[in-house]
Amino acid sequence: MIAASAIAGLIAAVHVASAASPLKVETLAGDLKAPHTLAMLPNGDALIGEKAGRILVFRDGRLHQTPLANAPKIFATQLGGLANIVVDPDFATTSEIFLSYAAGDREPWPLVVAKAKVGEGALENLQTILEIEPTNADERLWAGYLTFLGDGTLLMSIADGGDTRAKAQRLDSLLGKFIRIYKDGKVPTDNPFANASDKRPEIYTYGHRHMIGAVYDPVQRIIYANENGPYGGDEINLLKPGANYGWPLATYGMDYSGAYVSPFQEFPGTEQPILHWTPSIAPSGMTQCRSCQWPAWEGDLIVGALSGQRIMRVKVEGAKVIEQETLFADQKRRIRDVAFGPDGALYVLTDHPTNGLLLRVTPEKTQ
Amino acid sequence: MARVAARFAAAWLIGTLIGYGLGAVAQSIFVLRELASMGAELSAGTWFTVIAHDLKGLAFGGKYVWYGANLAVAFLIAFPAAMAVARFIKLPLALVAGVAGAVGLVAMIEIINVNAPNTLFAGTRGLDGMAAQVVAGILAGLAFAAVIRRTESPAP
Repeated sequence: MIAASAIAGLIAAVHVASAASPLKVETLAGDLKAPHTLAMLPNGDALIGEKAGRILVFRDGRLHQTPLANAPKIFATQLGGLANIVVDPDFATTSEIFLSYAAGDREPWPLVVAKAKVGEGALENLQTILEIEPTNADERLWAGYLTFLGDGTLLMSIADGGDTRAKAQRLDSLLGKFIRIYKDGKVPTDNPFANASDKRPEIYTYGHRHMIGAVYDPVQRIIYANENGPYGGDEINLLKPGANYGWPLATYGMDYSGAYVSPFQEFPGTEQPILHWTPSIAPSGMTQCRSCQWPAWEGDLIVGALSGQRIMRVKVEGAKVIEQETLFADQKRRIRDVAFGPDGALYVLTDHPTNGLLLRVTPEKTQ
Repeated sequence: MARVAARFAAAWLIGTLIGYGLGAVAQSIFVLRELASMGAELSAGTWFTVIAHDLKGLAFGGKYVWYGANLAVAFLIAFPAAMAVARFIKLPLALVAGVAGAVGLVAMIEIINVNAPNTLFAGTRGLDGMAAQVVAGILAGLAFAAVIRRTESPAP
């Protein structure tokens, strides 16, 4: 259990200055190789998925160096790899996790969603529930961020593929979309385009670029998702079924070349972000404080940032952003993923090719 | 010697400006054309604004790389190479410089793309967009050759 053993397993503890929210940061594990995803199990164990496919377990205050056996074969490339691990909301009875990853052994790769039971030292009964094949050689299927919704369905992000960004606006393509499926991979009949013969029935929302963080808020019953803009224009969106989020017709960002992606920041028929960041912070994993160790943060979104090397705390109420606070900026680390543990502490995964860290963050006790 | 260098510098500068101007405008046109295909209604003012913005942005505003600066370097290699080849195999400079301009411009784009996760200049992503860059390179090379030729000393 992390909660019980964090102090014993402490490698280092530092105190992070923040005007409003002083934090205590403990380093629980290091030497992680391009860690991509962090999943907290109900018993307090943490699963850490590395880009190349190793799944490591942090348990009883230490990182077990032997990765889980029977993990799926991952195609790790510049953009592809093990994308995300999420825990089944019914884990207590199923012991299952869901994984998304690049499969195959060459570009363009299929994007796979699989489920498996977490056994002792191994994944068991690994089953592919969805395999999305690229429709042509130009398609790059990445992102693959998974989020369970309140009705037990699974939301997954699929980025626009870069060169194929115009497909984000096409409803016969899965690029630049959030898709919604059941846990067995089947498509819900109440998806917004489920009954349109010329549209992909999996689509939940469209007009996205690169989304690697999303949260279902069980209290407000709404979905928040972040999105990486190009050169500026990172966003948080409130997802509504069937809605168009504008990319690449409307954006607050520019192309990396310095040219326009689009001269429009707003476009008729498209949704505006509830928040956008320019210059970019490269938002990554995202979670929400519900009964966490910071009572004042109740309901707040916690958003990691890669290039921004910080964590953003965003107080939201529906589509309204009430306040933002920058945390962790003095750590100068790329933040890959964030998750609250069952102990209410914030667990943070930092991004590094050979020395990613697992951190535990708690409120600094003030006198 | 100084005269030769000045002649080359003037030709290189004019070739670079023409290649940059045509290439940047073509890049913007293909991006706008794609937006129009998605349903964007683009007024003449929007076309003008975007092209003017991108002419500045592609020169100085990129995050990782500047199209204009890189093109200048590419032509600094391509044009002297064209002069040497034209002299060596006795072909008209205009022909060789035109090819060199196209090769230089396309090579510049492809070298930049090697380390990028996708094609950095969005307007060059399609074959037609890249073909427009080839034409810009050819015209830049022709301009270079024309300036060299106009400023050559008359035969004694």
